[in-house]
Amino acid sequence: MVYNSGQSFDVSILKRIQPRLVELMALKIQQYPILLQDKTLLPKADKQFMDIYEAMERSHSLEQIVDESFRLAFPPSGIPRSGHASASPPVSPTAPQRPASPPIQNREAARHTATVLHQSAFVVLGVTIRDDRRRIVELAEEKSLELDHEVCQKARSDLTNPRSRLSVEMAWLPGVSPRKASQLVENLLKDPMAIREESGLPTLAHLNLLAAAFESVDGGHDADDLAEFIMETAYLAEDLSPEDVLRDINEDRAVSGFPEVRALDQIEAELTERKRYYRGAIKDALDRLPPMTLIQVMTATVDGVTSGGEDHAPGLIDDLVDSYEVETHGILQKEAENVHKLIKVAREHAGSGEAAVKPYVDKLDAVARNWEKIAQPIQLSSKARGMDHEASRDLAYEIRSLAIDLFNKHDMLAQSQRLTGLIQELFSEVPEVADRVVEDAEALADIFQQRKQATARRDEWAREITYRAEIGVMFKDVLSISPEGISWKGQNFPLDSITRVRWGGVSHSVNGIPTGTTYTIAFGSRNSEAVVELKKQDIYSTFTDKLWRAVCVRLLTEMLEALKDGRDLHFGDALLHDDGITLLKRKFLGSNERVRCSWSQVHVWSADGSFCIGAKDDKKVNAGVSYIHGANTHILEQAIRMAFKKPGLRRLSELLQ
Amino acid sequence: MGFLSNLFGGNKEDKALREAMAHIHRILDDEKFQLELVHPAMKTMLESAPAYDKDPNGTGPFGFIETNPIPVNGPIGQLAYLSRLETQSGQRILFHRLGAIGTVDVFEAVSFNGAEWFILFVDLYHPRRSRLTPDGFRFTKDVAQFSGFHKFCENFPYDFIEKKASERESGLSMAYIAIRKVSDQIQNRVFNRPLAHKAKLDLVKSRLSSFQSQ
Repeated sequence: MVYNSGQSFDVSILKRIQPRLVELMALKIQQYPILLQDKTLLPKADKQFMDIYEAMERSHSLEQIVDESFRLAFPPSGIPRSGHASASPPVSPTAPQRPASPPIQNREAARHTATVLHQSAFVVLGVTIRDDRRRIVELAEEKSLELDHEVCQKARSDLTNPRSRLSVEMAWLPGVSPRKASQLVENLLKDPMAIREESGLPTLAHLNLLAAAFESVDGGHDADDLAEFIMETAYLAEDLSPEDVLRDINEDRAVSGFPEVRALDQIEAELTERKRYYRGAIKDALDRLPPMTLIQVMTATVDGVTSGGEDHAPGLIDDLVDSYEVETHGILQKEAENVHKLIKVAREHAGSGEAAVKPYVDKLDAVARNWEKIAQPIQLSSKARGMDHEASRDLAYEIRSLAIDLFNKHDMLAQSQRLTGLIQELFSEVPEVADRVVEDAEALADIFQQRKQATARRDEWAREITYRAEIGVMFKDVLSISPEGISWKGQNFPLDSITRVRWGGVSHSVNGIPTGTTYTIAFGSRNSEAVVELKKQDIYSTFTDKLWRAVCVRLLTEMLEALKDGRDLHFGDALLHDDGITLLKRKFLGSNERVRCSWSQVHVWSADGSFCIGAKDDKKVNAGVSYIHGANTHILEQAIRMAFKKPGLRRLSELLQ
Repeated sequence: MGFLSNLFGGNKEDKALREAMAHIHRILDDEKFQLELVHPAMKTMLESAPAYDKDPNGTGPFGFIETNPIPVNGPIGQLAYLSRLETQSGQRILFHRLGAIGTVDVFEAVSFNGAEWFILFVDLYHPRRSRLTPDGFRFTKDVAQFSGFHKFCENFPYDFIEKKASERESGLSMAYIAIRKVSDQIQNRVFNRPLAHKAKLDLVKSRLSSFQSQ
């Protein structure tokens, strides 16, 4: 922008402020492209600027003066009313405004037919990077006859002012011969992507051409190809060397006669600007894509350059991801809010059972997947930089918290496992979450496995104890046992209600000739008892085996627990303690005497249908309990015989350990 | 300064120093003097505007939204007001101008220790500065030397030293805080924008009618 619209302006002031002013105007133009398209607008701002500059110079910043000149030129808010860049929303109606003047008329936006390289001062004037000052001035005068005078003068000034010349040179193709440069720029219009195949170009020149080629990317561009293109550019930008650029610039200047650039830091500062421009060019290309393609390209790019978050990305990609993060923040926040709402509702419905929760977990799955799709480039980039993406981590922990509650408070293992799997799948790029959730998933898998095994064992046990037999010759009754209980003659005893069992057989004979055996099986609760008499030994053996598994194991455990609690249990004449047994010492004359023996002092045997226990050192001290008539005699025998197999055992309850 | 010099009212250097200090105090504190630094045409405009502590028609949290900006007396008044603010934990702020929404200037600020970040809205078209502070702030009891800029800092606040140097021409650099007050924090890179602040910044930037990019 040149302030020469007919009014005087101190040249020394202009010289001092011009570099910053050019930057500020470039930003205004970037924000409001109409400023370039409508040639009546900039002169208005020029005039206001010149009017107010002197008044504000001492007290205001240049930014404030430029803003004020725009406000005065385009009241109320300083925004040209047409051709406003769509990326920036208009000022809110509540924004403070000062009295307005008539608005500027709408104009059609000009269509871009050339890249930014075609707007270079070199192209505008038709000069090469090796032309000298005299040639530039000559051509500027010539071009003024056919082009806008101001544009030509600015191009001339940019190329002859050593400071601004460096910017223009670095935005051009330094180190490339004029003929080749002209050919490359021309080809850029015919086949922009062909520049990617070029080899042997100086890095800066190649990058400037690639950045210009990004301008040709439109909404229909193939996502994978664009990701490749961005990666190529980012890797190339890593190779930029200030020393090489300085050498190329000075080689050209040696021919053009402009003074050599001596300070490397000038080159470095310009390179920083260049990199910012490359990021902007890529970002603009991405912004032209449909949203889902944009996400796809970002994900593929970051995934590619970081090898799934394992390697550092080139700086250009990091910058690109940072911009992406800022721009997606709003939508991610909205999606995160949806996740929070669904988690809240799922918790509220958890009390109503799994069926009530499942629809919300389904929705949560969909929303979280959507969220992750957008966040994945950021997650990958954060991982590559050795950080966790904070928002992802928070969201993952929220979902994890629901998974834990669904299991811990409501025993919904399936939904809990599903959510844990979801977090593992979606947040694998967030290392802290991934580690924690792997532990959760393993714990839940263990529990799931144990439950599966327990169910299998229960089924097996049910199979093992289930039995049914008909007893009787003429009139048959059914004796059955199953997990539901034992039934006999219309009586049903749930397994848990059975507190006593007894069984045994009595062999009969007449004159020494065996006439058969009668078997008795009895079982009962606290209130009643059922007694089964039968002849068939196979039914007797099978049923008592099933009865042992179904009931006696529990009764044995309950007996040992009662002993452990200090209770004493009567079995016939004997009184059972945890640490021994009280037996009767039978006396021929006089009343029997009670003798308490420890387990090491007694031995056991079976005789005459009874289980017998006697003191080792005194045959008169003993007790016998009938198998067939005494309740739980078989259980007592089992406990004592098991105890005797454990050397040094002092208490029966030690069997529980 | 020697004993005899003291008796006779100090030497010339001492007097110059006192005058310079008085000048700095006037730049920092004297609202009328701050208006004198503005061009007469501008001054007339500022003086004709209402003088109040906050806009009676303002809506939203004072100083934190463009619809309820902090009234101050011109651009120097902006610097003076913002430099006087300190957080409830006694931390003063560094600031720079992001741009404007209409006539309201938008500043980004960070506490000296880098712990808290803010976005403040200031209306400079008033004859005096507000006597109120936004929530969470109070006025410092220190000498409120300038700690920020009414221009955009590309690398805020790490470029504080360079930006201060660039104020030499305006004659304001002597009114700025000493470099040592922030040099340690700058060296230790304690200023990192939190994600929430970045998001807020993004939202505000999208509303700016004038902006500077980073």
